[in-house]
Amino acid sequence: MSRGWLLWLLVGLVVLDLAFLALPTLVVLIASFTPGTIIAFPPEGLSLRWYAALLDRPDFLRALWRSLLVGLVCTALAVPIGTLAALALARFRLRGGTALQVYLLLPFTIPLVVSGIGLMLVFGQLGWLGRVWPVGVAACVINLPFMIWAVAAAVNHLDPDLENAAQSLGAPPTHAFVTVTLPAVMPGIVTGALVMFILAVNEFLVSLMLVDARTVTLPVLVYNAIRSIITPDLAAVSAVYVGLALVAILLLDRLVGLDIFLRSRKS
Amino acid sequence: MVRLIEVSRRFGATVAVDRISLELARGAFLTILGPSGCGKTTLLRMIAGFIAPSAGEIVVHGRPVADLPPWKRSIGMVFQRLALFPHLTAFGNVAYPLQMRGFPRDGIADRVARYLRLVRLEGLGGRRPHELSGGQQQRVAIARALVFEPDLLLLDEPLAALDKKLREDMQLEFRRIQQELGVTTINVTHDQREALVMSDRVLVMDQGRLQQAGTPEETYARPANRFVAGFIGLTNFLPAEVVDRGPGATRLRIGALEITLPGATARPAAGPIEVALRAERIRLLAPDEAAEITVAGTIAAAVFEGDRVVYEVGVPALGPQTLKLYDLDPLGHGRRRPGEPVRLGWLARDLLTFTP
Repeated sequence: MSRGWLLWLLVGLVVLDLAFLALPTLVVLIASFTPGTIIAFPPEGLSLRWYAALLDRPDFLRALWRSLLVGLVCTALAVPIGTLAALALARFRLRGGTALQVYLLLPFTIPLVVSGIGLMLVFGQLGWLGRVWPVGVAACVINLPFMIWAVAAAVNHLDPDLENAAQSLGAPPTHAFVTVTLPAVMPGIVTGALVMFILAVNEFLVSLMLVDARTVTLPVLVYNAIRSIITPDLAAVSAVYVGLALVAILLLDRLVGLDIFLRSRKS
Repeated sequence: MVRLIEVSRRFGATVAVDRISLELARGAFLTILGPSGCGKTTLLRMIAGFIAPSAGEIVVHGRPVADLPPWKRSIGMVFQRLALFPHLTAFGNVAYPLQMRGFPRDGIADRVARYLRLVRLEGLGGRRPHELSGGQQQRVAIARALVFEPDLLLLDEPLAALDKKLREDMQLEFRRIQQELGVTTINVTHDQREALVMSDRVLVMDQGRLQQAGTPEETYARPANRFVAGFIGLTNFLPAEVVDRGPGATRLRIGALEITLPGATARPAAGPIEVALRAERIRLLAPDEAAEITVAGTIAAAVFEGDRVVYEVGVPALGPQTLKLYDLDPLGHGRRRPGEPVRLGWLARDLLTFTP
């Protein structure tokens, strides 16, 4: 095979890849501006009609609020737990450290349906079913590996003598942790927190099992809606999601810089 | 003054540091030299307070430090990988110990500026560590370790990661700053050249034990044992035998060669011994040139290093082993080819004898 041929094949694959990454989002975004009453692509015109309609749907707004609450609960739990777990795993040679690592990654390797059933049983016993905040707890349990990875990447990047240096410069251990270690791993914490928030706001399958008709989160509401008639307001809801993700990425870029995802780190 | 009295450290069954004692005058620069794993870093970390000694006592300026945690000791340290705080600027890094040690707030900025000037970083205080070059990061680390005027400065091989040119510049720079401030300093390295260049005193360690303590000149000229002779400098070792011990001289047999050592040389015990000969003490002789001891040989290998050629010469009279030597003026005369016959010469007093 000639090199030119190979090059064209690669270019073709990249274009295809990029197209498939962005296409579904673009189609939904464009479809959401339709003025008609059925969802269609390409739309027959341009209108913000369905966005306005969203504001008149209190059930949508309440579901959105519940999803944001789920995201907040999940993030509030994941930040301290994930940060401390990552620090402990990366910094200290714990007895059974590997076992602990596997244990923490377990939720990630189990099918979501199985985790969902498990959580449903436990939460049922605790009387937590049908409430909103336990969904945040569930999202935290399932996605915690992401938080740990984000912080662990930042910790591994640090000089292991950082806290020793702080101590020899006059800082007692707790002081050294607060003034040096924590700020130094902050990029990892911010990254992890935003990822956890977005994942929790988007969390669908497990939410489906844990909520009831009065406490549906936004993804569950959308799912319920498409089972009857697919109306353009669903496309508008999807656009709201895209907007949320965009805000998260912009925040990440401002606070940490996206280049940490693209640059391979120096050891 | 810094004093270590029989300081030891065990990790399980291994003895990392075995009864090391030393005394260091105020303002002196000591280098602990040894191969990796010899216990030198463990010793340094005990002085800093990160590791507790299993036995022995450490006294800094008249005060035993056993009960003091690192943050209460007055010891500045430059770490192997520098451990600069990545979220703080150079200024913030240097100001950190002053803030932690409760220096008056209004004096901090002036003092940080003064130390940044001392390490020649004026104008770069606003940069984060990753925006600085390797040499500049070294300077921030040393300013940070010195700004609170500690009783003692510890250097844990901070120069090891630098390339040769920069490392040699920084060695002189560290020495300049150390002498300017007169701060008592203990440096740790496996680089013999660094030890000789920077220090007032050198302490050679191997397998946790003290091998020799002395000035750089003493350590080089009169190594206390075979390890020191082999670790510092390029040294040839030859098996030998004591033939006769007279009152003023000793006769040795090295292979087929018999040599009389003058009385001033350390007396070897009778029986098998080992003779050490530094590569730079051996001369390549011109055809008509004479020397106290001469042997004939054949070039086995020649390595051109720019300012010198390192030859390995097979000398049948001395046995199967080759002798390593330098030609320090390789451009002045032609380079010898492997296989070429040569004559080598040296002085009897350049032979160092060790009982194995």
